[in-house]
Amino acid sequence: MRGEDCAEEGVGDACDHITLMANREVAAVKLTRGENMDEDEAFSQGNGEACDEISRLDRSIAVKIFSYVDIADLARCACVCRSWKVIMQASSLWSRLDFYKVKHRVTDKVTTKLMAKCRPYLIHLNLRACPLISEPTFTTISECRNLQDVNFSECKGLNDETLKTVVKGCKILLYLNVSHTGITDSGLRTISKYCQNVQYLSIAFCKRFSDRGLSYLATGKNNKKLEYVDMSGCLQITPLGFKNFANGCVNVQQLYLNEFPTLNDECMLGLSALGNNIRLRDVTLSECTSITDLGLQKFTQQCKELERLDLSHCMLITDGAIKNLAFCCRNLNVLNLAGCKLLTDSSVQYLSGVCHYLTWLDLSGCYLVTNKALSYLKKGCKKMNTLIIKYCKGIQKPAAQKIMKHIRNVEYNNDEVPYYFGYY
Amino acid sequence: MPQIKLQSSDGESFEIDLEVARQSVTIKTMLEDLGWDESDDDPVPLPNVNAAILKKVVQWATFHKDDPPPPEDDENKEKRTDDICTWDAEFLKVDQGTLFELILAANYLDIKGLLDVTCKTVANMIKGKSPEEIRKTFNIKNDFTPAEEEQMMSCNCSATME
Repeated sequence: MRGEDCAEEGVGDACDHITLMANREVAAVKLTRGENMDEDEAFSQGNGEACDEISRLDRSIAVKIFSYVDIADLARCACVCRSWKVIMQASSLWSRLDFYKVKHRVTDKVTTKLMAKCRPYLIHLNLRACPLISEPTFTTISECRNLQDVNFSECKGLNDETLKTVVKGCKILLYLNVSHTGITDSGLRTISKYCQNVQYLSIAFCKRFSDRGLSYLATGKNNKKLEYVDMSGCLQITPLGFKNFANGCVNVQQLYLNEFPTLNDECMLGLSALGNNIRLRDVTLSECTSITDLGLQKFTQQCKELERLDLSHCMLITDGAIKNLAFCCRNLNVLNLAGCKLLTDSSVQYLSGVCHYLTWLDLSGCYLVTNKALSYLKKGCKKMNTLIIKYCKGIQKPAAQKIMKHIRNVEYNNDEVPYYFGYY
Repeated sequence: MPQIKLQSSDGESFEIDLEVARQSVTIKTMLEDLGWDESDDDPVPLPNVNAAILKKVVQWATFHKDDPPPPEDDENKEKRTDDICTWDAEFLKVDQGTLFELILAANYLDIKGLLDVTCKTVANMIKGKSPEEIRKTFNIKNDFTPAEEEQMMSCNCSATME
């Protein structure tokens, strides 16, 4: 009974212990100055005789063990015994707060209390999909000056105002995820003005900003810092918006534009300005169902340094686009063509002929591809270590088994293409 | 393949492949410092590891000799404990004493892969348990005074998270 009660109090208790740690430091200073500790401090110093296996380990190993458990566990651990309570004070254990697992129960009271205590140590904060948090939480976050990584995805409480509060305080943010939130142009303007160090930005599925907001990003103070940008599902962006973005954010290395049925050839033309950016390596265009050969060609002709490309479920592209891709992007390493139903053996022939660095290829659902494609791959792509050929009716089992001798990971079946590929 | 002799704290000798032994950064550095070559026949003394544990460590290192080097600890990455491979899970079905001795050995020999997987195993013994259950698992005595326990209870904000 005693234990269970204690568990319930755990989190708050553990955060109290962080203050305790600060007190100890004060006490240590006092001691060196020859001052007396008062009774209260003396009481909180006691940590008893450690006799269990974990307490006897090197502190660094013990902390390593506890680094694998979540906050709720840490809180309960602090109630186990005195020596565990002391171990739980290691600052590195409090550099990350992840509230996602307890998202429906997290209130402003909990977050503010915890953050107030571990404020100086906090580096990573995940508030994804926590519906109950509001202004007090955001105000407290803004006081965590060492915060580098924050995830506000799906937070109903995040809006332009609360975002401003946070980013004005947290000046060294590197990772900012505000996907699935209601931020508007004004929010993007705030980001461009205050987040001068942000390298990773996700505004995926934010539907309320416009091209104008995007141009703030492209011309703001951090436009050259952005290396990773996720704008998946922001269907409101027009070709002009993409063009401005591509011209301004010239150091983007990874670009995610998934689930973008409105991303047409004109948009791709706009994005091709990214070709001036020799650092662009990784582009994901999964489920961009409007892209045709023409748009893809315009893009790949400019962006020749691509190493990873995801075109899965871009159903309109044909062998012509892949031929062009192969000849332009010779350094391709990872290529996802799952669900590109028009592709045939000749796509694979082009890729095998030119892209010798290809290590990972997904052709699932490309039912026109046959055994022949496998022999092309065997000859041309000697470095390949993963080949995914599920739902490939055109490839027979003996051929698939043969290629397994040359490629380490092969996932194969010749089942019917499932309905979610959207062919029918 | 060149072989090397290791000597446990209780004097037992183990002859193993050099490649297997080199997974231990401690042994690897020792050999480099000593300028060890294949003609050397002297066993490498490991005064902190007994024969029973050394046998287990060698068994682990032999199975994992072709593994890619484990990734550096990345602060930015979520730490998982559900990615222990089945062989390791089976291998680590040992009594608690042995498990902690393996941790100490992995730490002393500096074998990151083994240290990671043993620490994860202990973390899994902690996860989701109440303080009382944890005390039972690790045979720990509750040494808080009633007054201290009361103090812990006076903070009630966590109830919302449990």
